[in-house]
Amino acid sequence: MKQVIDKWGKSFGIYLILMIVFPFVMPDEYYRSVGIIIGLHAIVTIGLCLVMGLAGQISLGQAAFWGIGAYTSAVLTTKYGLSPFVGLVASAIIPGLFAFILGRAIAGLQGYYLAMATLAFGYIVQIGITEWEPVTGGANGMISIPKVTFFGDSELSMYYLIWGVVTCVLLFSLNLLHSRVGRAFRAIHKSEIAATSMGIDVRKFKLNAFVVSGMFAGISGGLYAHYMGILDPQPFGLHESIKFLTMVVIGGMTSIWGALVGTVLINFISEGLIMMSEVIPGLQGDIDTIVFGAILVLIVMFMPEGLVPRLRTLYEKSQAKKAKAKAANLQSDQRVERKATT
Amino acid sequence: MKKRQFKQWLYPLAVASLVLLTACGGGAKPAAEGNSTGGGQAAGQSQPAATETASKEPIKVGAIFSLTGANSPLGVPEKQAVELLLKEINDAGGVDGRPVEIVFEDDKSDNTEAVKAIKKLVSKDKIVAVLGSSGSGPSLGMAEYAASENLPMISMAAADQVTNPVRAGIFKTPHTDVHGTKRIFKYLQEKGITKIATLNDSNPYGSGWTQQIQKYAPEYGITIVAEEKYGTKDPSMSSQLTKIKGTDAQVLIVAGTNPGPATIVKEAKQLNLGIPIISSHGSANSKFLELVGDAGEGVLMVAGKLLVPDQVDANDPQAAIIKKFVDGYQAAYKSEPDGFAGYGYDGLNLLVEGLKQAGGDASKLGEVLEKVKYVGVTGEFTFSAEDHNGLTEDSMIMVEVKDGKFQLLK
Repeated sequence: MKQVIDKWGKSFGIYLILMIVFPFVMPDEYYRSVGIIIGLHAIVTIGLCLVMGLAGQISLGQAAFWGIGAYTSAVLTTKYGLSPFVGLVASAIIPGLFAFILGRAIAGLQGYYLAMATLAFGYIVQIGITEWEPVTGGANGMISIPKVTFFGDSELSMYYLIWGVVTCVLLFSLNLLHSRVGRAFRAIHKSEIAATSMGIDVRKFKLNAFVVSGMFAGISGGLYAHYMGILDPQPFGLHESIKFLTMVVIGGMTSIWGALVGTVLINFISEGLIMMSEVIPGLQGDIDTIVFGAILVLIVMFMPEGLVPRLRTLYEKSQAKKAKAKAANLQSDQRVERKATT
Repeated sequence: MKKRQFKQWLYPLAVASLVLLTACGGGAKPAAEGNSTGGGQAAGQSQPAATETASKEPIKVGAIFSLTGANSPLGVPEKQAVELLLKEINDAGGVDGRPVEIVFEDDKSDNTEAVKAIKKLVSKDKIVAVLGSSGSGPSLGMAEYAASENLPMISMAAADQVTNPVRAGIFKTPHTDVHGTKRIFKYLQEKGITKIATLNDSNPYGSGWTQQIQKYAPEYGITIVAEEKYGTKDPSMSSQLTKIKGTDAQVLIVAGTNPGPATIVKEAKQLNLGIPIISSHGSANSKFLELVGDAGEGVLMVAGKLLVPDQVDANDPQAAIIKKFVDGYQAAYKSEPDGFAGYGYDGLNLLVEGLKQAGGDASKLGEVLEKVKYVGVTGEFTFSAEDHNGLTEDSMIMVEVKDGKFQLLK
């Protein structure tokens, strides 16, 4: 915790202020619901960032964990009448279990093969949800999923509940980044062989990252189910997985803040396009997919490390320059002084 | 040093708040511009009436359709029909002298977008009722919120779940799979056919049909000898058809949206299936005829009367409104309206009928609609406290494809 404050104090302060102030800057139910959706996406992308940026794995099946989480909580609360909070706990555990089993099975895979395996998993889950009709309601889905009551069930309380979870997830991940575990992750990301020779159990660390990301996605899914009140298999496909991936890549894979910034950015662009489409009718509909694709290509071409790491490097460079200039100034000042005294 | 640090903080904060503010300010304006207000159209009328209409506050209604994405073939004609009718209603003086104003939103065929859109309409535009959406998932999401806000809603989605179980204020206009199934079974009874095979899409539409066919088959003395499924994007269904060919089914029922059913019909001909095919209303449109070509001859379909507007009996209570709608739509958009356009048309008509009966008081709309009787282009609607769809299977017809055209079966 102390480490986090030392290193991330500024960024975290800004984050907290923006997060708390946002619903009051925009005292409109609609923007609060946009904020809620951003929060839900952020929980998933922070988890995905752990897998991608830190452990260096590509997961194309994140929406599947999201879906498993959503259906777990929805089925437990709607069919068995449990409290949504029990449902939410289960919606972290069950996808975690799935991630564990899947991770065990594919822990030896790397690069493209791992991406392929997670892609297949994503499809299996979506088809599974569609076909397991007695439990999931099949393609028609489920309705009347109870709301989470967290100091009332208004849009505002939901906003703070979800961003509270985002904050917890963020703290957890930032802390992890600066522990022994985080260093081990980065070692794996740079070179698996080197990491192994340093005595890092690569398999175990990869598996842990995968399970944690699955649990995060599951929690977000559970919250999504209770927020929406209905579920069908449509949102849990490859399209959504790729959207999560885009958010992480744009923000910067190696940075937790990058995942958050990428998520906010993509959602803002999406909203911006909706607003613009009201003025320019030609901008309607799937235009956002094209824009996201273009952004992704541009980022990968010109800024492969992502937005946040690039900006940070630029900032640090400018700081270094300033410090240098200052030092030079100081030196010349001293020289002048010395001259004056002699 | 302290001061400098403060500056460093200030800059990103200022930028962030600027971004937020511009996002906020930009939101309200385009929404207002995007509205199609009745005021402007009423100006063309006689002068006193126009000023009277314009002086009264408009009744604001929201309409969410899937204008893009997978459901756009449904959403676009729905919106066109609604726009056409809106103009007509406002030209005739609106409701109680108040013009009706509709704020359109696109849900991109996505559940989350639909829920966001309805929240936007309620909080920003302060609508009193909502039409839509085109698809079942988005409609169910909207219904959840509309029910909790006591906002009257009329959906154009097929799924039975939208109005079953019945919720206060939530209605829908399209025929459901229940009507389609019963209508086909009635036809089969007349022909003395008892053994059927089904080959349905595995999407919500097709699986809804599968459920209803299973449910109502015993009632009509029908046995299902084969029950097959296909995926919406499958390029070939010949393995399922071969299986069905091996059974003693007398007829094959296909429920899906195009292009699936067209592929099935073509492959059935190649495989020489040898039994008649009945396709559901989801595929009953000109696109189907285009896709099947010659292979479509003799295929039977269940559909709304709007599919063959010129063959509707002149004594039919729906004849007048169908003619009016088709003529108006053709004049405005130079194309034949399909069933979806009809759902949108009926939706707005029902809403306006309800508003008129409630004396313009939208808070009573939910109760009033339960007593509304209205002859529409889709069918004769008779809503009640137990039935928020209000249609019966008799509003559907059986047609046969003959010489590349739909021919009504008497």
